[in-house]
Amino acid sequence: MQNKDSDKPAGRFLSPAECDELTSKTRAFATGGGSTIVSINTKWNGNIRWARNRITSCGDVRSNRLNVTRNIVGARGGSSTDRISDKAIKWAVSRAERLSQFRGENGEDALYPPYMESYEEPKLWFDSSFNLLAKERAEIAAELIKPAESEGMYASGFVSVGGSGLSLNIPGLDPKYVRYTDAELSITVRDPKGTGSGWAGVDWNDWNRIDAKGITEIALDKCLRSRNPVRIEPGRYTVVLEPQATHDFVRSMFSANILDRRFAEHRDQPSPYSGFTPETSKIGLRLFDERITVSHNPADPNCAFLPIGYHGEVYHKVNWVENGVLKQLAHGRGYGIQSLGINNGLPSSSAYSMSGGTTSVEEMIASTERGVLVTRFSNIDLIDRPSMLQTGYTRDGLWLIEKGKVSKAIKNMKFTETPFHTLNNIVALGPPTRVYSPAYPAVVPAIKAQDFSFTATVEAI
Amino acid sequence: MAISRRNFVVSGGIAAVGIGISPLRSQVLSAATIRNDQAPDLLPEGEMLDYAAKAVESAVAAGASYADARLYRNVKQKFEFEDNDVVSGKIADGEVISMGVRVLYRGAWGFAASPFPDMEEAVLLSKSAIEQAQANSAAKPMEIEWSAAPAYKGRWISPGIDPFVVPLEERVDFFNSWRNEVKEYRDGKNYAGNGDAEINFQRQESFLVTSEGTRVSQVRYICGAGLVLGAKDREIHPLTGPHGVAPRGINTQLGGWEIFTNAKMAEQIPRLVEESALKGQIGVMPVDIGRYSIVMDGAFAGNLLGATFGRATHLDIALGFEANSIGTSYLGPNPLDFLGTKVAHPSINIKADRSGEKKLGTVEWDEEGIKPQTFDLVKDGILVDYQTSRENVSYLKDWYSKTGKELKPQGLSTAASALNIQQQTSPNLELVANSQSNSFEAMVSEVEKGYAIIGGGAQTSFNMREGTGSSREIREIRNGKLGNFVRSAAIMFSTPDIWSQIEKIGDASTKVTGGYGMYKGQPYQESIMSVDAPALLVKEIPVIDATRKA
Repeated sequence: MQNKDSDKPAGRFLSPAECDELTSKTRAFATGGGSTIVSINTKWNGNIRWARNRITSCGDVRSNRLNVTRNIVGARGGSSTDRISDKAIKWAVSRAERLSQFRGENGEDALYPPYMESYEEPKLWFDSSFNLLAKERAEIAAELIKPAESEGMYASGFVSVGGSGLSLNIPGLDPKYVRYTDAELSITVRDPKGTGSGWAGVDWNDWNRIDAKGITEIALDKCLRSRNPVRIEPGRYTVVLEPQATHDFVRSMFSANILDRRFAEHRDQPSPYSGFTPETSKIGLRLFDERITVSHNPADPNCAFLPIGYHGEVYHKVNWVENGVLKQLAHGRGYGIQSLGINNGLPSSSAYSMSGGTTSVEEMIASTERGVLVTRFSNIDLIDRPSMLQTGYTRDGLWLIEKGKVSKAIKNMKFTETPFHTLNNIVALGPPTRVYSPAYPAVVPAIKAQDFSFTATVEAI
Repeated sequence: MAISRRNFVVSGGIAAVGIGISPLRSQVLSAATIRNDQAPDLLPEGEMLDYAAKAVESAVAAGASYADARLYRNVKQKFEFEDNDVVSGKIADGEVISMGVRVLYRGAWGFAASPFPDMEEAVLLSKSAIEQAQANSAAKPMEIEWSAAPAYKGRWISPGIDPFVVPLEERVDFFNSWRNEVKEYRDGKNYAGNGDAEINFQRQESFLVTSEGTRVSQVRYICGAGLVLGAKDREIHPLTGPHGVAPRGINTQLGGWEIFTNAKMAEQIPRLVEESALKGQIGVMPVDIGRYSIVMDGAFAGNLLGATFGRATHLDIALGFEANSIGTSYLGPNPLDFLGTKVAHPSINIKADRSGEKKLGTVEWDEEGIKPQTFDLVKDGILVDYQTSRENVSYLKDWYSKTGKELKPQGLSTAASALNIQQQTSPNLELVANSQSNSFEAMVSEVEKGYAIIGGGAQTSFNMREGTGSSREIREIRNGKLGNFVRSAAIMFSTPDIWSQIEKIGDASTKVTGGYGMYKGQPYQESIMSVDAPALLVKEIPVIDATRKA
């Protein structure tokens, strides 16, 4: 028996017209008055994976998520489904209505009437990503395996491309639909004996901005040069953090959760941005080296992201940190209205760009008497939220620098350090560079910093 | 308590929940008239299997040497109770459904999936999967050795009461009664905190047809509650406090509504409140770094087991297939070098299964239609097996031949949904308890100076060879007795050392069953299994101040 009420999209994901039709249908199923918010996230993804120089898996996957929120006299209930048949949508609406009964009437609608700021729509759609189909992906994988294989190494890698749409329908506001693509490539090359490992990767909305050959070469080169590492004593070292290492280390400082002003000003929620007196923040204080500016701009072509969120929030161009001074923290619309007297929020998407300098990694190395060159960090744990003290491991390429030169591959080390310390001990900054951070784009510089704390040497390669 | 599917009377339900509802809203809600159904019906088994069969038939006709098709639906709800008030809590609700088709064509995989299960889609997905496999085959195929497996037919439903047949209002009322009990008993007692709770209900349905003739379906109920009575007003230090007290028997597990009704919370809550209050009176002291004997409770020991052997014995990880994702294993890259060698103290025995009662990894058939085996991973401290898949088990054929074991798949295939291609998962793991009497207190009494780790978890490096362990509840042991909580303490370990330095293993009374989740693959998929472990006494373990820099 066929499922007669199935309503599949004509393309690989739902178009604006299809989303509008589903929204109308969803609203028509509502009973009992009130209002109905509908958001639809519709996606297509194509991927391929390889390891030990062979293609190991792949996928061509479509998915949808229809979220319905029913608001009846100030009480909200929500449900979701990834089926878009009449029966499934009717169910979701019914469940949202049932669940609204279990919520208090918080009067949010009266406090926050529907409002959405205008926004600039960045270029997020690239045919190069959407048109990278199975045949092309397989050919790319085969091509990227070759250099490692010819050196007798094992290559592992992952290519993922996608096309998506976000449809948002809030009563009283114009419907929104934003479409975007994504693309990522990461490669690990390892010595079959397990004595060396190198990694490189990046993500963009546009596959054409990914230098696949260059990334393969970097991963292979790092693998070959990292073989048979020697042990050095843990301790405090001058470090040259390549851009990916910078990102791995500082990213949590500028994530939406940590930047949240409510936590900073909350009496019981310790935050790195909490002020020195209760219920205040550190806004206005200098927290980092004055060369550090951290911004968030959906229209930045080097770090673009979706300009709206699932609840209608609009992401602004903002400097969280300017010349080392904390200028802004993220907040929702409720906080804006109640505490700041403005009608909008200042949300964070967790994407960020950090300012840099002009010193290349090679120049950083050349100016270092003794130090450590770090490719990236892995398995990071936050030990203490107020100080952002973290621990984790170096991975896929670690070298000792002596007298201005990379002298030898060294065994990986465990670190225990906080970005507050490192971003105040900067010696030099490199040009801001796009790094591997799928879904949360990031542009950061290489950093040369003093007194980075390595607390143990490890055998993991 | 016998639960039957029933209709719910709107006015009665609202009154029972006790929400302050305005006359206007009451009128609107009456007009909205709640539907009779409490949850979507189970998907029609025959119809779903027919879709899957169509996809498989289509793939085989196109030249696939093997094909499987899966359908999956997960209906889930989550209650979050905050600030002693269920009304301010949240209920998250949703369902996911998907159909995935995987084909093996000239040594290469192809996989396609969507949320549109029907006959037409079955053919389209099959075609897409074949196209991918053809492209991969022409490029750089795996040349897979696909181990043989018998075909099964049947349906399996995990034991328990479908949580969704219990009316929503009844469930909310039930948990409100817990809240009221907590409120009643905590009044006047210091440090008996909020009792915030998160309660989860899931009903997972899956359907599988393979080209080898397997045609099976399964329904699994997964429920659990995270309710912690915490020391609310205690000063919070890194890695220390608040020190919670959790009820017994309601952690997330394979089971239905009966998990909650069998928990006898009315009996547990007074004890929990007392314990919470007592914990609030225990002092906090700085850590004295050095090497000490450590007594770890079953919860921490289970987490250590999951984080070390639980991951390091995945054959695909050991061989390097996850190098670009979560990492590698210290028990690699050549597993044959490690099989038959000592990896732990001779008293250590680790078993693996996917059949244990209430265990999160338990299934009747895995995602490739294999009936899972129960097997030993470590026997008397010797590594005797890896966790394998149908695709990679042949790497161990020499070892199996040498030890007289049959080369057959263990049944460890999993997928987060049918939108995800299958990958190797962890089974439920059991660290075998001491058959001789040996309680947690008895082990503590043997330590003159050391530390006890209660709860918490271990974090390892990307090949699981090194790690640290921490908990909000590390206590000093002095002269055989538990003392103060210790601020900022952690243990540091090398995996081979910590498992070799086991001094004592607790008896069955010290066993704790916990859930252990791990991410793996690209795109990442999470799988969750249960880990059973007794308490352990381990000697000469470095204890560090986790907040101390170099």
